[in-house]
Amino acid sequence: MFERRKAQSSGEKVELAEKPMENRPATVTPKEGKTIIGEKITIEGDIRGQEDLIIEGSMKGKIELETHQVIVGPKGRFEGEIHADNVTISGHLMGNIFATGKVQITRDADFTGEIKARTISVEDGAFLKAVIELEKKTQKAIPSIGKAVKEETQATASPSLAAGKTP
Amino acid sequence: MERMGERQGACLLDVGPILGANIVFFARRIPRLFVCDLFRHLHEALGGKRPPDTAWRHLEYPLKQFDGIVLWDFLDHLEKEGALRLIRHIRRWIKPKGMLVVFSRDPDRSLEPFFAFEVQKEFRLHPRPIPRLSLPLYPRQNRAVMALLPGFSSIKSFIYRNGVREYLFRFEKTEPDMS
Repeated sequence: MFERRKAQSSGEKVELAEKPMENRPATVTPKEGKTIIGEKITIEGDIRGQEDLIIEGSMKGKIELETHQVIVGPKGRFEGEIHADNVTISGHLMGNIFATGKVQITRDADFTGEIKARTISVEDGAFLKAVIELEKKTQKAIPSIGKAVKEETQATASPSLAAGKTP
Repeated sequence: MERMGERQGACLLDVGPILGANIVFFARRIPRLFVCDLFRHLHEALGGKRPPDTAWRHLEYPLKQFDGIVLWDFLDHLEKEGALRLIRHIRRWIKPKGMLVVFSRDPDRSLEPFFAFEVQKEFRLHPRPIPRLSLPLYPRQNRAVMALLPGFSSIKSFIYRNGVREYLFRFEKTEPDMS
């Protein structure tokens, strides 16, 4: 149903949805389709649709793929705003990310901007100048700092962040 | 940090180096985490024979933005004048009663290669070598560290087996001549 396609030229707006949403069963989320913006492609404009997007070229604008994944590859450059489920950054990105799922930043990434997501992972050595806000739904599962302080002081261990005895 | 995490919109600045474990640790606890790798910027500035100030000159945070700043051992990599200039910026960025976390190495112990502090299980910090970064070291005695931080009061301090000291400071006042 969804074939791999490649954006061929610049344009104001690239529509990725092959069919209008109302024609599909409501429970189906097509994950198999993906679009690749190739290394030699430059796009200025907005993209919205219902399949995954891989940026290996250059793009400036807004991406709205709320239930899908956006990947900015190692040679990819993006400037603007991304709304997606999961976002993976390996290239250069300047702008804001709004992810309902996870944002992954690899060691090759160069990111400047703001991230709002449910979870995040960052590889050591990535270039990052960011503001990060995570959904706090998982907060209950996190042990309190106070509890950790007790564990730390009992365990005589290596340094811990602002936990220990006052001299 | 627990109290900071409960405060709506609380902001923390982590000055790096970029370690995934630290970012996840802070981001899960603090409403707004700001991340900027000053260590890398300093490495690049010094490598390019530029003054250390170029490492933070590009940072344009609003006045009184942060409830807390984790400076790690960044001051240990700055000579006194550079450290004082950075602290002037920090005094602008931090809120009154904001907290500052500083680490410092023991000047009497042999100097180790550059390492960063990584938050691991049970809130332990582990020194982690970062071979890609090469920075000078200016470790200081307690008094010299305190002297770099006028307007801050020491709330807690810890010394660890490897000689690393951790300080928790609170910003008490803004003096017009220093802001």
